[in-house]
Formats: sequence, C-alpha cells, structure tokens
Amino acid sequence: MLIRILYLYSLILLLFSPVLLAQNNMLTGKVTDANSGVELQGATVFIIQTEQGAVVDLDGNYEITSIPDGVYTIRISFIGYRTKTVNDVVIEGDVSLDFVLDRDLLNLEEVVVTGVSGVTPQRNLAFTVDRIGERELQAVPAVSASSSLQGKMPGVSVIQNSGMPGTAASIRLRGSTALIGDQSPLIIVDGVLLDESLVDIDALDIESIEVLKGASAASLYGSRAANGVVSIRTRRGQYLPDGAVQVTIRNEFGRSSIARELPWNNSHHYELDESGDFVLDSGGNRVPNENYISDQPYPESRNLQRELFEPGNFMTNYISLLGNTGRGNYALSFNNTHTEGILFGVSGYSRQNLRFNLDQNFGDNLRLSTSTAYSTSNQEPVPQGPGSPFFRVLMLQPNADIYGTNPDGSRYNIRPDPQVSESNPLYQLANQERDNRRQRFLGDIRLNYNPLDWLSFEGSYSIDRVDFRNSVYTPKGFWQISGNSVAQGNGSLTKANGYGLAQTAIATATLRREFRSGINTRFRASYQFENREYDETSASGSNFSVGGIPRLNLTDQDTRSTQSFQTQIKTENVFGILDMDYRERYIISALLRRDGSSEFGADQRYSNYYRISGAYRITEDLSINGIQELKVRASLGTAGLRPPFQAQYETYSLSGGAPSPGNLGNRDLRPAFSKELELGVDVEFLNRFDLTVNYSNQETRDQIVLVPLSARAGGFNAQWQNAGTLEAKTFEVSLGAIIMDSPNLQWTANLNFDRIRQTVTQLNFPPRFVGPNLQSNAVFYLNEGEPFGIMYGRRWVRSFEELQRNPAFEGANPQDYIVNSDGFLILAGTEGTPDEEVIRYFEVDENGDLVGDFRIGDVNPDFNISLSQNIDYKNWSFYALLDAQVGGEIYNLTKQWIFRELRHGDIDQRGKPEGERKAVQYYNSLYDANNTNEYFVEDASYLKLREVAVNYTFRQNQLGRFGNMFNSIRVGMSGRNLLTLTRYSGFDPEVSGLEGDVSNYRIDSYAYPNYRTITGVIEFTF
Amino acid sequence: MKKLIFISLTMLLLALQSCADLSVENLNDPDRELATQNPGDIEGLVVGGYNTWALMASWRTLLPHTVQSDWGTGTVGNWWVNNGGHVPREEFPNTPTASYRDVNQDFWDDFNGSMANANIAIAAIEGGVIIEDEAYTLAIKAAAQFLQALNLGSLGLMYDQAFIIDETTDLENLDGIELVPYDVVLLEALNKIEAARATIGLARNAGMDSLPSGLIPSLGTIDSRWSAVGSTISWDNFEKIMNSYAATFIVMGARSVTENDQINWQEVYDYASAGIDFDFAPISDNNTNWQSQLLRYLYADWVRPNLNIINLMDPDMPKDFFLVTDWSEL
Repeated sequence: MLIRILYLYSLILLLFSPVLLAQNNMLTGKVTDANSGVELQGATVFIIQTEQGAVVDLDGNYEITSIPDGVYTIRISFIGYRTKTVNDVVIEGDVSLDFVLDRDLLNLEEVVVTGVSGVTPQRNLAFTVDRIGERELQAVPAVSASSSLQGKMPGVSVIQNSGMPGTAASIRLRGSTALIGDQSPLIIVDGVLLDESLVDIDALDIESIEVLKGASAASLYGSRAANGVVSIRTRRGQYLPDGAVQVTIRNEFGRSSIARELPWNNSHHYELDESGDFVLDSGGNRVPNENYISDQPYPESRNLQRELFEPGNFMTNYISLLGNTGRGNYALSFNNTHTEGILFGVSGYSRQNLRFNLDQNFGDNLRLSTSTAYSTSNQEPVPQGPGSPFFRVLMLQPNADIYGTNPDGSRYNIRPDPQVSESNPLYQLANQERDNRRQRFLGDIRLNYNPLDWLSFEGSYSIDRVDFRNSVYTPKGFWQISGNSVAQGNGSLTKANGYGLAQTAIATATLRREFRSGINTRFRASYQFENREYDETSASGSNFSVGGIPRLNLTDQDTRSTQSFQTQIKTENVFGILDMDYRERYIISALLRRDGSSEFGADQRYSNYYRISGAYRITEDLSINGIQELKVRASLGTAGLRPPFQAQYETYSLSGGAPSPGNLGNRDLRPAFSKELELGVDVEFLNRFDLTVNYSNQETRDQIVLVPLSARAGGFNAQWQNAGTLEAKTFEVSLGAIIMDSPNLQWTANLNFDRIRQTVTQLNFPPRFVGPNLQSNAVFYLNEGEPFGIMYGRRWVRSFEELQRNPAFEGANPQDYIVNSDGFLILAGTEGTPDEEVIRYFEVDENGDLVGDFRIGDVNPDFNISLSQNIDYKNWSFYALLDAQVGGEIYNLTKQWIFRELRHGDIDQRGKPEGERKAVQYYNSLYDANNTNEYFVEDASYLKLREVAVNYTFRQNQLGRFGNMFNSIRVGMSGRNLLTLTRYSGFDPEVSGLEGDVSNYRIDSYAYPNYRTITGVIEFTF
Repeated sequence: MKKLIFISLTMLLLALQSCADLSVENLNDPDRELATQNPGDIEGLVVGGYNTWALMASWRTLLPHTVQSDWGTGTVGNWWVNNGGHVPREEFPNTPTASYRDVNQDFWDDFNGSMANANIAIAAIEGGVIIEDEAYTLAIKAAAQFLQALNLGSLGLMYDQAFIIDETTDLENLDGIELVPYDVVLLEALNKIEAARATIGLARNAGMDSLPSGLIPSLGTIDSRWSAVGSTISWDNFEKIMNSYAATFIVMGARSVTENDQINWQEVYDYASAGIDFDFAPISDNNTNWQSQLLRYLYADWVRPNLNIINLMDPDMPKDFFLVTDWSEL
C-alpha cells in the first residue's frame, strides 16, 4: 500500500513538475534603441526564473532555446541603456519578442567595482563612488588621462599648473589631507597601482573612471588612500556580441595657441629727441623725463610675447581593435600623439601608446585576464620659473630685437637689450638641446577561479615600470652674458637616467550568498604585497675640450659630478570587506584593513583602518509621487598617507667627504591618519533628474612634517614627526537632468557644485611658511586655527586711521596724507611725482609687539561650479563643458618680478587720465624687492569654456558604397580651453607653483602658460 | 549564515597574520653609526663643521649686513640686500612671517649645526677615540674647540640670545637647556678659545707643531694669491687667528655706548697684538667655491662699495646717495 501511495505521489509530482512540462520552446527577437531604432548588438536578454540568457548577435537578433512553458520575467540590459524588466511573459511554444531600450542618459544604471567587494550598482552603494563613462570621456578626449576629470564631478580639483606638453595635471579630491607634500590620490589603471603620474596613459583607451574621494569610501586602499582613489578601466571587448570585431580609426589634427597675453608696459620714462631717439647723457645713459612717468612710446616696438609664443600643431592617430570570441574578448589599440605646444622652436611632446587587453574563459570556472600597456614618449622640456624663457621675455624692453645676430653671426643675439641683464630666450630655445625620454610598461594578469557558486578565488600580479633618460646639452660656443659684455662659453652636459618599478601581488577570496530571507551578502578577503623600487643616476660636466660631441668624457674633469639615489619600499596589507543588503533596501558595508610598510617607523610598522557604511533606499519601502529613487546614506571611514621613504631614517650628509648630521631618525613615525564622515542623499525624481548631495567632514591627524630642531640639538637639523592636524569640510551637489528626450533629440545636462573649507586645527611646531620659496620669498603660511592655503605678507596703508595704528606715526597730521587713485595712502603732494610711494602697514598686536606681516590672501575658492551639456540631434552631437571657480586668490609673482624692470602693464601710463599717472618710483615701492605683498594678490575667479565638441555621424545607410566598408564615419571639431573670462591678469588663472602641492600653492611664477587647442576629428568605425 | 560568518572570520583572521619582513635599508645617506665608524670620520666632522661655518660667516652674512652697515650698496632682491639698504632702515626680518626670514634663520641653523659637529668630535675624542695617534688627536680636538668658539662667537654677535650646547650637554635632556644672553655666549666663545689654546699646548708637547694637514681643506686650500702662510698653518699662526677672533668678539660684542665703555681694552689690545699679521684668505673646500661667490656678489656684481666708503678714500666723491645730483659726473 505504501508503495502504491508513493508511486501515485511520484506520478503527480512528475505530472506537475517543470521538468515534465519542459518543452523546447524558443524565444527570439531583436533589441533596438528606442530612439534611433539601431540594433543593440551585445545587449543581454535574460530569463530570471530559468537563469537562461542570450546576447544579441551581429545581426541584431537574440535566441534562447529549451525554455519550458511558463510565465516568466525577462530582463534586458545593455551598457549605456536603462535595464528593462518585462513581467508576465507567457511562453508556450516558440515566441518572438522584440525589445526596445531607452538610453541611460543620466547613467543611473551604472555599476562600480572600486572600493567595494565586487561589482555593485551605484544605487546599492552606501558611500560615494563617482563615475564617468566613455561618453563623457571621449567627447573631447584629453591628451593625458589626468585632465579627463576636469569639471566632470564635484569635489575634484584638477589643476594643470603648467601647459608644457607632456605634463600631467594634478588632481585633488575634496579637501586637503596633507600639510606638506601633495594631495594626489592613489591611481589605479586596470588593477595596476601606479607609482607615477597618469601622463603616459592614453585617454582614448579609457572606458570609465571611478573616483573615491576620501577615507569614507577609500578605506579599502588603506595607508595610500587618504587622498582618495582614482580607478581607471580601459576598453575591453566584452560588450560586443559573440564573434564580433570592431575596428575604430580616429585622427585628430589641430592647432594650439596662447589664449591671452600678459599686460605689458610698451612705454618708457625717458626723454626722446626730435627724431624719436633716446636722449643720452655724457655717460651714454638714457635721461629720465622730468616726472619719471612711463608714457613715452619706444622708437621701435615689438610684441615679444607674440615672438616667443607661436602656434603649434596638435595631432593624434588612434586605431583600436575590439573583439569578442564567445569564450573571451580582446582589445588592441595604438595611439600616436604629437603636440608641439606654443613655444618658438620647441618640438614639444610626442608619445606612442600600445595596449592589449585580453579576457579568456577556460571552462565554466576559470578565467584569465590580462591588461598590458606600453608607451614611449619624447619631450623637449622647457625651463620654467625665474630665469626661464618666460621670465626673460617679460623682462626685456619692447625695443629688444630678439631676432638679431651675435658677434659670430649666429641668430638670436644673446643680449638683445643692453639695459637689462637677461639673455635672449630664443637663443636658449634654439641652441640648447633638451631631451626627456620615457618608456613605461603597465601590466596586470589575474586568474579567477569559481569552484562553487558562492565561492571564488583570484590571484593577480601587476607591474608599473618606468624608465627615463633625460639630458640637457649646452654646446661649446654657447653665447652667454658676462658682466656687461657677451662671451662664448665652453658648454655643459647633464645626463640623468633611472627607473621606477612597482609590483603588486594580491590573493583574494570572495564569498557570495543570497539567503531566502532576502539578505544578500558578499565577503571578500585579500592579502596584498607591494614592492616599489626607484633608482636614479645623474652626471654632469662643463667645459668641453672639443665642440660638437655631447659626451661627458670630453668635459673638464674638475667640473664633473655624479649623483645617485635609490629607494625600496615594501608593503603588505590584509583586508576583509563585508557588503550586505536586505532586499536591496537596507545596505551595510564594513571593512577592516591592516597595513604594514617599510615607510613606517621601525616601531610602528603596522596600522589599522576601518570603514562602516549604511544606506536606506526609502523608495523601496515607500512610494513617493514624482520620486523614483530616494536613498540616504552615511559612511565613516579611515585611511592613511605614508611618510616619504627617507623620513624615518637618521641621516648624515656628506659634503666633500666631510660628514655632518642631517635629519634625526624617528622610529615612531606613523602614517598620517585620516578619518572621514560622509553623509549623503541620492534622489531621482520626475523621471528627469538625478540629484546627489554630499557632506563630508574629514580630519587628518598625525601629519607628516619635517620639523626643524631648535639649535640643532645633537647636530641634527630636523626630524620627520607626526605633528599636526588638518580638517576639511566639503559640501557637494551633483544634478543630472534630461532636458529633452525625443526620438530625434536627446539633451542632457550635468551641474556640479562644491564648496570646500580646510583648516589647520593643530600644529606641534611653530607656524611657518611652506611651498615654493623663490628668492627667499615664500607666500603660503601654516598657522594653527587658520585656513590651509593662506598667504602672508605685507600690506600697504589705505587710510590715515590705518597709518595711526603704527606708533611711529602717532603724531602724524592727517593733512599731510591723501589716498591716491589706487586707494593707497601717500604723502600729500607727492601724487604723480617720483616721491610718491606706498607706506607699509604696521599695527601693535595683543602682546604689544609691532607686526608688519598679515594674512593677505587665501587660495580657497568660495565654490566651484561646472555645467556640461550633451545634445544629440539626429546624427549631430554637441558637447560643451563650462567650468567656473568663484573666489580664491593667486599670488602673481610673475607680475611682481617684472616690476623690477618696469615691464608690467600697470606701469604703462599712456592713456591714463592726467592726475592718475604715476612715476616709476611708485611702482618700485610696490615691487618692494619681491617681498610678498598684497598688491600682487589677485582674484582667481574664472569662467572657462573648457571643452566643446561638435560631431556629425554618418551611419552605414548614409555611406553609399562606403557602407560596405564602414559602420559609421564621424567628423567633428573640438576645442579645449577655448575661452576664459577672468579678472586675473596673468596668462591663465589655472596656474600654480611648479612643485609640491599645486592645489594649495597657487602662485604664478613663470610657468609654461596653458593654451587653447582647436582640432578637427574624423573617426571611422567598421 | 553561520557557516558564512565562520568562514569569513577565519579567512580574515588568517589574512591578518602578517608575515613579510618590512625592513629596508637606506642606501642613500649614512646614519651616525656609519658616518662616524672610523676615527678619520671624526676628523671629517670637524672639516664639515668648518665648511659650514665658513660659508655662513663669509658671503652669506656679508651680503645683507654689508648694505645694512652702509659699506656696501645694491638693489638686488636676494638675501634681503635691497631691503637691508632702505632708508630709513627696515626692521630686521626676524619674524616667522617675514619674507626674507632666511637671512636670519639660516645663520642660526648653520652656526648651531657646525657647533654640533665640533661637539660630537670632542665627545668622541674624550670618549677615547684615537685619530692616528695621541698628538694628532689632540690637534683635531684643538681645531674642534676653536670651531666651537667660532660658532658661539658668531651666534653671540648676531643674536640677542643663543643656546650654549657643547660636548658636556646631555642631549637626552635638552628641555632644561635655556637661551642665554649674547654677552654670556661671547664669554663662552672666549673660554673655548682658551680651551683650544690649552689643547694646542698639549699637542705641541705630544709632538704636533702645526694644524693637521687633513684639516687644511676645511680652512681652505691656501691659495698663494691670497695667503702668505703657505700650505700649512703652524700652531703659532693658528693661535694668531684665534687671537684676532677673540679681539673681534670682545669689540664687536658691545651693542651700546655703555657696553663699549665696559670693554677691557687692554685685553683687546693683548689679543689684537698677538693676532693675525699675514694675509689670509682661504677658499674653503674648493667645492662650494664660496670665495669666488664672495668676490662676485660682494665686490664685482651684485653689491658695490657704498659712497660712504668711497668718500673716505676720495673726499671729492659725495658721501651719500641722496647728495648725488648728476650721476654722469660719478
């Protein structure tokens, strides 16, 4: 009886089981773009219940076979499109269903992989990971990847402090974390932790950039991540249909030119005779005019800036080959870039990039991925700063003939202006050979093994190797200024070469589990080992015995010198990260990390980091009219900054073989420790808008600072110590909007806003200047309780009341002073005469001390704002990026220093109303021998039309007989740095110091100016 | 769920077990142990100390002070030359916010640094280090003691206060060290000169009759164009140099009429009478070449003699810049 019951029961089960019901039903159809109707090759169609799926093939079709009868939910997805879920699809027999997908114009469906345990939709994040995709990146591709982030997300400062071709832009994420050093984030390219800048990375290869802005998101990267993380992924072939191959050939040609010139004094203050020549005294000196007012035209005048800055060519040739074999995919690309820049006689920068990425599956459980990139570049560097061509050209007078000849008949006479001791900038550019060559290899190989549905292992090894060789050759016979005459020198040669090598090995285990209760968990544990090496050797010599051969052996033995420098850094890190959510509504993420590094003091080899984050997707529980997604989140995380290599060691310096104590070692030196709390809200509303608001409070303590030791106790100058705290508060808003979305027109806009405040909250050493120190003239001051990035210097008295704050003027008579047309107090009766001069401001402080230096500027902007527009109209596409900084100041040392030779436009009195004209002595008092003073602090606000692109795409059906050859041809025009509206008087308000922390040391000091580039683009795809 | 948590925690604990050796040697700069492992290194410390002192005490000091004292004049901005010559005089840049504060700070750092070199060398010698032999060691010690004197004297002349840190100071307990007034510092400089003199006496007795030749480069390769003493410096000539500095410290240390009146002029006379009576212009270590820079910056290029000085030699020349009415006549 029991057997019968079991038999009957089994029969019933069989009759109603899916297996018995299974039929060889087939689901076929097409997936197309909702607007254009274009077939979306590579889109995925997936049946949720049966976990069956298919990829749209080269013909635009998909096919899923062996589907049992039933009612199903089907999910259709494709990169760049909004995922569509279709419920209640009845399949009984073969069914044909076409799907259309809407473009994800606001990138709401994006997933991220950086800082999390695995691929995670942005909607499920409990902290901010900003992402920009191929569309934004490739609208106006930057020459270098570092510039690609400019203006594209809030809280990201990208400063191109030098326009010299081949120079990487500096990136700072949110507020500063380091009192000393720079604020550069950790950069990862396809899993390779970079040891050098992004200058060698081809922006055309980039598929996406993910940015973790601070410790609240970047804790996963531990002691290198307090400045945040920028993770770049390059193109691969995974989104193509099986068997598809796509070739893209892109060529861009254009011209670069200087965007604006510096205001220059085209006048002088000397007497002219009737024929317009200078009147000379018996000693041959020019005779100043009576009032020393610079309002006389030069007998012969040239625009030396136009003669130094000359438009140059810009060119890129790019070819890429993407393919999907079904079992894997590949991407191969080559780029040739050449940009001349804007300087007379300088070849600029050229680079060739080769990239090969490969993913290959072996069976169902094993996957091998490799990413490799090789680049070789050649740069003709140009000296910058005081003494550089940019310095010299501005010091010369307009009557200097810089195309004249030297005594031996060679061009560009070395001393074109006998009144000025500066040499001809063209002569150096034309006759000195400067050559920087680099080769770089990035490689990452990883093996992923999934033995079980819920368990996977991954091992990876990556390498970043840079080899460089630099030389500067000044040939024998090079003209130079010697006292009041010119002479030919015997030449010199400097050569430097070396390499940097960063290797990283990581072993990772990942566990995933989805519980029936709706709890999804994913845990990842990793061990990471880093080994970084750097080795540089340089040699120099002067006075060649014979000319024409740039070899050190031929230099005078007594002038030769050699240097070498080498470092090694070893680091091991372990971490575990747990991501959990309940039905994707309540999201929790937690991680622990322990870092050990040879850069930490011997008694502090390890440091620990953590992050805890949570988010609540309110609209998963509550339906709110007009709001599609509302998420609140909070994240508290920690990360670090490692000390420089040499910081922990006791050092003795050797000069001429004689030792002297250098720095005192510190066995207790720890990494700087940054803790960030981020609170955020994400809202998608009215099916048109995507709003993200973030507030971040970041405190970085244990700042790593080289602290001078009073009286050099024990002989040591200084010691690296953990000696300060820096706080930064950031408020960010990002708003994406679909302005128009119709079959012919899609118009989207993105608005980014940020406001950053940074304060030095603690210093364990006396206040001091930091940053560039040119002619003993530092500008930026560290002082406890004050903002980070302030300028200290002299002020000029602006009122009689101010004058009286100086006890020396206690009995002064107000009748003896007036305020001049510049707003400064001067002695009455001196205005417009050689006796007119500004008066330095002093006051007595609370301790009764007379002080004469004050806070005169602050680099920190009130806020930054950018607006990008993407308009696609039929086959036309238009992109524009407006970027603005409001507030913040720059110290214009370029302007100040040329006051020495009376060359700045402020000194040109021609055209000025009578009564406002001033003698050159007045401007000399403002110059003040380069002492930092308020006159040269300028408003850094600007509005830039940073990027513009207009393209037209010919689709296959428009190409006639070429349609057999090409899928599409795109032609267009691009512009970079097209227009700048600013009150800043220098070449470009996007200027900064030439070394160190360029985001905070905003000083204009004769850098290669940024320039505009306009190009034409043609791109073939087949 | 329990299984997942168990596996996760186990993996995490395993991962947290660190295993790598993270020690890395600094192959760029020696530490004290390496830099002073040979007795000859102690001599090198003294050589380095003299170089540091000489660089600071010569042209770096002279440039700003030359114009400030009105015997030089210049408009170059570097090293406070321009500002130092302003009339009326500006305050000396001795605040942390002053642009040209290096003019003040560099001397402090390097005089104290040079002092430390001497201290380390003397402490090592008194600790038993023998450099070649006893006589040679005493000679090095004497040179180091005079280096102490030079640095303390320079500090006392330039600053209102300074630390007196010598080989007897406990470097582990520096908190108790206090700044002392300049007159005390200068007095200690004279004490160090006398200590050096006593050590020279011991060196003489031990068989050394001149400054060790190894130290000569620190005082300068004695270029025949600039020195009448030849390529060696006898103890007699060395003591003359010491005496001249002693006289300088006493005379220049007075900062007011009152202090000037309190000078023991007989003592000054005695030192000066026994002081340098030969041309002596070392060119330092032939590497930093500070002597040529001194010539370039001070006499030939950036700073020129002040009219005040020229007037002393040629009364027809105006005494003051402001009295010049016709530059073409100069």
